[in-house]
This record gives sequence, C-alpha cells and structure tokens, in this order.
Amino acid sequence: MRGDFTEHGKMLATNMTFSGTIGQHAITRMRETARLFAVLGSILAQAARPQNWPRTTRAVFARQILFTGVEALRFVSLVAFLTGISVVVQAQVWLSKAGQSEMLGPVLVAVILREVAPLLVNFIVIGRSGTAIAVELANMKVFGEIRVLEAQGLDALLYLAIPRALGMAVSIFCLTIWFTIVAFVSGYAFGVLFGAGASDPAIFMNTVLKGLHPADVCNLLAKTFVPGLFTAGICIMEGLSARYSITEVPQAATRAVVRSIAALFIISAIVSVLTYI
Amino acid sequence: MNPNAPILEFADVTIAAAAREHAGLSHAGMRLLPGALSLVQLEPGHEQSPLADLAAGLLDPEEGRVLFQGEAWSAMSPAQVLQRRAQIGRVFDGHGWVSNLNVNENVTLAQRHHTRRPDTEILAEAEALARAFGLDELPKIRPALVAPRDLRRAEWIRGFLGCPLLILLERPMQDVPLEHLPRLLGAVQEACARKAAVLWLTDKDQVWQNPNLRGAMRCAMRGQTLRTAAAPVRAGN
Repeated sequence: MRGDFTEHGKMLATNMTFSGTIGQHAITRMRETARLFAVLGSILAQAARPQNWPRTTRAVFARQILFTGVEALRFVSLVAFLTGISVVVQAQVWLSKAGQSEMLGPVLVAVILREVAPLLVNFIVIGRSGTAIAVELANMKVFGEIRVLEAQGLDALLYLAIPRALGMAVSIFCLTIWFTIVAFVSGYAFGVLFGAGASDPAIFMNTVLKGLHPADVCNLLAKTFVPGLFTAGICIMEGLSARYSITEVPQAATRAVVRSIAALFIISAIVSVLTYI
Repeated sequence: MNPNAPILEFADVTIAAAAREHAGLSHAGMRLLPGALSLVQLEPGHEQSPLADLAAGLLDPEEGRVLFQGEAWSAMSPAQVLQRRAQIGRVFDGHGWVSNLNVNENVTLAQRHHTRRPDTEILAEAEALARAFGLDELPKIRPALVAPRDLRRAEWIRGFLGCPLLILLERPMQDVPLEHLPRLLGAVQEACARKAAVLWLTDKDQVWQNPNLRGAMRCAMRGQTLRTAAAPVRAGN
C-alpha cells in the first residue's frame, strides 16, 4: 500500500514537472513576445521623431538598404525569374486547358503577389540580412562595442536598432515589388516561348491588372513591412542577448533565424486570413 | 552653472570588483575641478579599474554617488545621460572600437552624431590632432588592420576631438612608444588650459614619475582604496 503511494507520488511529481516545464516554456515565450512588441513599439515611436535621425543614423539606414535591398537584387531576381517560369507558365497552361483563361489574372495575383513573392523575399532577407544583423550585434555585444557606443553618448536603440529595422522593412517591400515584376515578365516570356499563353503582352498585363484589388495593396504592405520589422526586431534582440562568450554568437544567429521564420509564417497566415474575410 | 564647480566628483563611492584582475573601489572620494589633471596609479595585477566607467555613468556604484557637472548620473534621465556623455572624451582600456566602421568613422562618430558641425570641419580637426600625435594621417581602414601603436594614438584623437569637458585616459600609453608621451602631455596641458578636466589612469612608472606631470593631483589604487599620493621625489631635487 505504501509502495503504491510512493509510485503515485512519483507519477504525480513527474506529471507536475512535465506540466511545469510546459508552463515555464509558455511563460518564457510570452515574456519574449511581450519584449519584442515593446522593442518594436519603441523603434516605431522613436523613429517618428525627426531629432532621432542625426546624420550617423541616416548613414546606417542607407547602409542597411544597400546591404539588404540593393545587394540582394541579383539573387532575388534569379529566384523571381525561376519562380515566374514555374508558376506563371503552369498557371497559363492549366487555366487555358481548363478553359478558364480569364482567371489567369486573379490566380497570378493570389499566388505570386499575395503569397509567393512576400514569402520568398522574406526568406531571402532572413537568410542574408537577418543572420548578419544577429551576428554583427552579438559580436558587438561580446566585444564590448555597445559599451563603447554608450560611453560616447550613442543610444543603441537609436543608432543600431531603428535604422536596421526600418531599412529591412523598406528593403523587403521594394524587393517584393521587384520580385513580382520579374516573375510576371519571365513567366509571360516563357509562356509565349512555349506557346502556353497570350502572345500580346498588353493582354497579359491587362489580365493581371484586372486581378488586382485595393486589398492587395494592404496585403502587400502587411506582408512586407510587418514581417520585416519583426525579423529585424527578433534579430536585434537575439544579437544583443549575447553577453560574454563568442560561442553565443552562432547560437544567437540560429535562434534569430528560427524565430524570424516562425514569426513570418504566423504573420503571413494572419494577413492571408484577414485578406479573405 | 557655477564655472568653478567640480566637473567630476566621486562621493564615497563603493563598487565590488567585477573579476579577479579588476579593481574594486571602497568609499572613494575625488573631485576634479575645471582645468584639473588627476593622475591615478593602478596597482599591478589589478589594472582594470572601474573609475572611468563610473565617471562616465556606465556603472552604478553600490554605495555613494558619482556626480558629473554637479548632478548624479543616477538622477539623470536617459536622454540627459547621453547628452552629458557627449561631453566626455575617452581612451578606453582594451577594445575601444566599433569593428564595422573605419578608424576615421569611429573617431568622428560622436561628433557627427551629437553636433551639427560640418563633416569637413570635424575631419580637419581630427587630421590636425593626428599630425599633433605623430600620425601621418587619420587611418581610413578598419581598426583590425591598424598597428596597435597607431590605433592607440587614433584613440587619443577621438578622446580630444571636439574639446570635451572631461577627458578619461585609461592607460593611454599602452602599446605606444614612450617617445610619443610628450605629444600626449601637450594635448593634456592644452585641454587643462581650456578648463577641461582630465582623469589619467596609468600603470607606467615613466608616466607616474614624469616631471611634466608634477602639478597633477595624484592618487594611487591600493587594494580597493583610492589613496592620495605625493609626487615622486627625483634624485637631486
């Protein structure tokens, strides 16, 4: 009897430990999310004040757009070109076979502009610039460079976070528009080449433009600016969470990528649902 | 503000040592008036001192207060803290650079951030200081690619650029040949002449015993105690 009690107690303790671990994990996640929202709120509130944009901050902003936007153009163009071939050509082929050619515009807008372009561009930016931000800031923290900035009266939020976050968001928006254009052009060109679509570019463009709605503009803004800000916020936070050792740098980068991708999918799903409501 | 009020004041400051090679501080007191130079001799084996971080408001003392221009760092708003730090020039002990900026960008960063002085004017002042410190020009490459003795002198430029009110020199002669000491002394004397205060931490006997620094207020770190020290007596004097 006494043994039963002991076994029961052990099971209860194990269950308690298990649920406690889950609870602790959930609380930690909630705290991190709250901190992320607080950081993003501060970034947006401080960025709205013109006095927080001295020439040094403007220079970091321009540099961020150069690294995240301009230097990613070639790779984004390549991915967009290949996406255009596979998605646009297939849409043209299958819709014409089904006798639904008039649906080409709405389908392409729904697939490329609403989903594929923002998602792929965000992925590329997370891989190229998100990791770079996390690694750079983690190194700065470990080597005491944040302290060096603070000793000179530079606020890390103003000098490091604001230009990086906004530079990343603006770059993702611009890259997504570029991605869409390249994908449509390559898709159309290959469609014509293989005799799968209308040969007149005006007809193709007209079909696509007909599929566009005002909600798509909001969708595009929400799927580029918002994940861009979240990615930057996550990468900045993870980078600055490194403290003492260089071995924390790759860990911070890995966490930044995983959490940025998770945030991207969550935001993307929420915006998609809201678009169709 | 009273022009004769202390620029920097340590009032009964206590802080524990951060690590074994670091020095702590116990009930330390010190006042730096405008135009004053305070020379602090560091104890061998405990060269990492919290004095400069405390003076810049980067560390909060466990007891006591550190006042800059008559106001405790702990009583200032974050914006005030940043504004006040803009008036402090510093040569850091150890790594004092932002790695992804060139040396010239690092040197002029604070001036470009806090002031509206034209870039050309800031650069001209930096280049003039570079020549005064024996550098041919301000290095325009990453800090990692610059020789330590040149990098240290580039830090001197940053420390004195923009005529700061308080200059914190943490072992500024580290990695620098002693032949350059007179150049630094000249800049320190000029800064004191324009009523800036200078806190110079050193572990070098050549600096501590330098006859040109005989007029400096002297303190020595012994354990966790900051003691007032007398100027060394030179043989034959």
